[in-house]
Amino acid sequence: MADTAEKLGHRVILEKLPNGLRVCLVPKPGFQQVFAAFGTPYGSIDNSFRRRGESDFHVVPDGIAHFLEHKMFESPEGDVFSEFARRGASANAFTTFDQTTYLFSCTDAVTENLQTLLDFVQSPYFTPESVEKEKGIIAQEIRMYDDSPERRGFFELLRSLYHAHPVRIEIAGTVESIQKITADLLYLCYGTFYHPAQMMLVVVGGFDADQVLDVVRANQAAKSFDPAPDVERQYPAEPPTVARDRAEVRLALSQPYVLVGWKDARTGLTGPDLLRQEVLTGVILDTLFGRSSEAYQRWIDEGLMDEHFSWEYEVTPGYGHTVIGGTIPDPARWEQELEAVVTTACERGLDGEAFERCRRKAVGRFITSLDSAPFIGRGILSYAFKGADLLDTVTALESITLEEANARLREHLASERRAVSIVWPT
Amino acid sequence: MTRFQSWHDGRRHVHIWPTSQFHTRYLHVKCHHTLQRDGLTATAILPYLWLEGTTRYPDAAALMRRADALYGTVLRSGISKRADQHIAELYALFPDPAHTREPQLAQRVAELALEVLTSPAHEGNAFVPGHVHRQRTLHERRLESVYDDKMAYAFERCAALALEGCPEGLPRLGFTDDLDSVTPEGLWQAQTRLFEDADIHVYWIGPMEAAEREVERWFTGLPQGAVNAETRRQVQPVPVRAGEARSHEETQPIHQGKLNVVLKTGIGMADPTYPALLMATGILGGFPHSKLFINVREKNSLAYYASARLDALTGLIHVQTGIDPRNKDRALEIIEAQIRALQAGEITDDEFEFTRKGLRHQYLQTLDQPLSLADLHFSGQLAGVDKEPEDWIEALDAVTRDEVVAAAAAMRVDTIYFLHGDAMEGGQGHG
Repeated sequence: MADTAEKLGHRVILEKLPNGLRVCLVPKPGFQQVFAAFGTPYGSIDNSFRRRGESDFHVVPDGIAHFLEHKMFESPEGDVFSEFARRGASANAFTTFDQTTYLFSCTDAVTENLQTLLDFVQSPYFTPESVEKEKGIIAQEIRMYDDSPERRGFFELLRSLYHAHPVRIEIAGTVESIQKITADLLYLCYGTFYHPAQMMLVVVGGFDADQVLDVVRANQAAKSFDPAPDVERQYPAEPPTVARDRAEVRLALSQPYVLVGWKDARTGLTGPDLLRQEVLTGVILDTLFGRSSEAYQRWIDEGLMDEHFSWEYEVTPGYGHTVIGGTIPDPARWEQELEAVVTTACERGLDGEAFERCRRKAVGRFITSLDSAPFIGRGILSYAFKGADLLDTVTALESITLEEANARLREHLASERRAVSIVWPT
Repeated sequence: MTRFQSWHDGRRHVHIWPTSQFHTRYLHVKCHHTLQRDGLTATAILPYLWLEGTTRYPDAAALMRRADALYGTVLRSGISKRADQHIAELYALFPDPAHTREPQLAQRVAELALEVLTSPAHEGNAFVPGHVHRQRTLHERRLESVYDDKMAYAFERCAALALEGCPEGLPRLGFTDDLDSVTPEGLWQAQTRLFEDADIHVYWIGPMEAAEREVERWFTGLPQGAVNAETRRQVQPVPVRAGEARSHEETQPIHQGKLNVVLKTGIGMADPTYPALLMATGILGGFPHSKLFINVREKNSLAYYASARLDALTGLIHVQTGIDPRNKDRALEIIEAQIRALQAGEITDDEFEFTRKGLRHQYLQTLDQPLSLADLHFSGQLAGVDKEPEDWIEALDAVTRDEVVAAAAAMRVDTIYFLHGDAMEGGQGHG
């Protein structure tokens, strides 16, 4: 039976099917587009695992989750993209540290597209030849990232923040690591992480909920699956300190690109606590470094940075980090300025008025993003895998206090858990 | 079917789409005039200077705090170009007031936007020197940072080479060399000139109880501009150039090569054959089922991306690929062979139908994306075409295979541009 809830002007329908697959529908009446995302909480960090009954852990090549995502689009009949293209739909997929997601957007033939999505993700087909061919394409994708200051700077930073946690490894792997990937290894990963009981389907947009639910139920009921594997993932112990406090590389750039990061010492949050920590940290960072902050405007005034400056906080049950930075002509001087801003904030606490303004801004920004079906679809999926609900964001924002913010600020932005990554122009 | 209700008074236009479908309200102002070398850089800086402060909110921090307090109203500005038009833009997005504790939110945002445009912070007949200094520095960075995104850089370079000597080829951001001569007084004059000379389009998307009053706000608030000016600028596609294709190479210390090709067609969105050209471009490189993606990436594993995109106003088709530099010749051969195949009518039923459906999907999707819809409408204003997405879908439905082949015949390879690293080691590529 489906559960229905009303949230922020949306009807949210949730159902768990007999095979364990979770289905979440969010109809948006009047919308042309239907966006569907079918995902599994399996990403680049899941590189060491065993299943019940296995004594040893499998350690798989870096980049295999992303490689698997690419290869899923191939079927014995050919390329799955054309099944979607036949109906004017566009399909895509992406892999993050902790999640793989297959998605499509369509304005026609919703139920047919949904069946195609479920069917192709639930029927793996790899041959040694097609695996070899994919290596050339992915190598070009990696080469493209190699030229990106944002991407290079970010991964150098993660390698500095983390000693051992696999979040320090490139999601796509390296040109060398992907050479070790075989069809057999892909089947192993697929069999371990793509069981319906591990996965979730989210559909958002202009569609008939009853009809969609019937089609998904029937599609799943017609397939048989082995029992869900009991999977144990292994992550190395991660000390609270940083691995190194700085990293520097060179690329064809006009100006240095600098990122500063802080890692969380305490991890293990899930559900509403995780969501609350995320919005709390976000409001703190916006208060300190957002466009209307004193620091942001002063740094622009003094030519220390430009508008390509941003902050981000990412948290999962296994790790969490803040990253701020952008194009910075004089990295050493900016680092000093940043240190001073953080120290002062920790000593004096945040300005109460600024904190309230940034909270209000975050509420407004969240509401405006609800016009995007992909935003809702992706968000519901990724929070659900962490036990949280995207649509509780406003409630979480309304519940945070200045006192908590000041405590969190002092705990999180500690200099012993900070690292710097600089991409210099060649 | 017409969504936008339009009003105009001289060069000032207000387009309102009254709808309660969205959680966001949108306000978008576009001021455009013809690109010209003289004053180019000053015009390019203006929209950024608007956000440096107003009479009431005298600096960027005060202005941003005001916008943030209005439930995080996204207040942004920028400079863009469409064909030979230089467009200074301001937009504001804010949440549906029903979800906030501020029933007057829409009015407050409109007042703020109008103030940003018409009452910027100034000292006499000049912008505030401190603001100009900040924006001059930031503008220098904007100009430089194009270099840092190689895909965007290759795109811009190839387009600039194809459009050398035309107003369409002038860079939207202007030139670094002009920055020294940009002054607070000169910028003030540029601002006055822009409002005297530009066509101004205001787009408003959201529930509208009193549209007439909103229109009145803008007609009263925006400067009148030149007397009796009714000129509606209409852009024309760039003509096809006679002669051989021109090739350019550039090296930078990078890993992936960028091979870009510009084709000219002489066909813009007002042309009756435009829907057929849109189909032809889609078949060539608009989708994962298209010839370029299948042949450059899937069959030969030469690229991660390979696509073609038609500019509705200039009629230029931009082909973009990211390749291993050692495979350049092979990739170029495949691109050229695919264009020839298209022109020879080698189009499968699937290519034809998938493309038609894919384009239909894109047009329908704009109906959920107010800013895209406003952009489509604005392009129509520039080209002198009054069509809604449904009209374009109908036009695509009527396109025949012969018409696609005929439109493809207009494609001429004009410019080939290759950006790559210095090290061109030997050996064969992947595949």
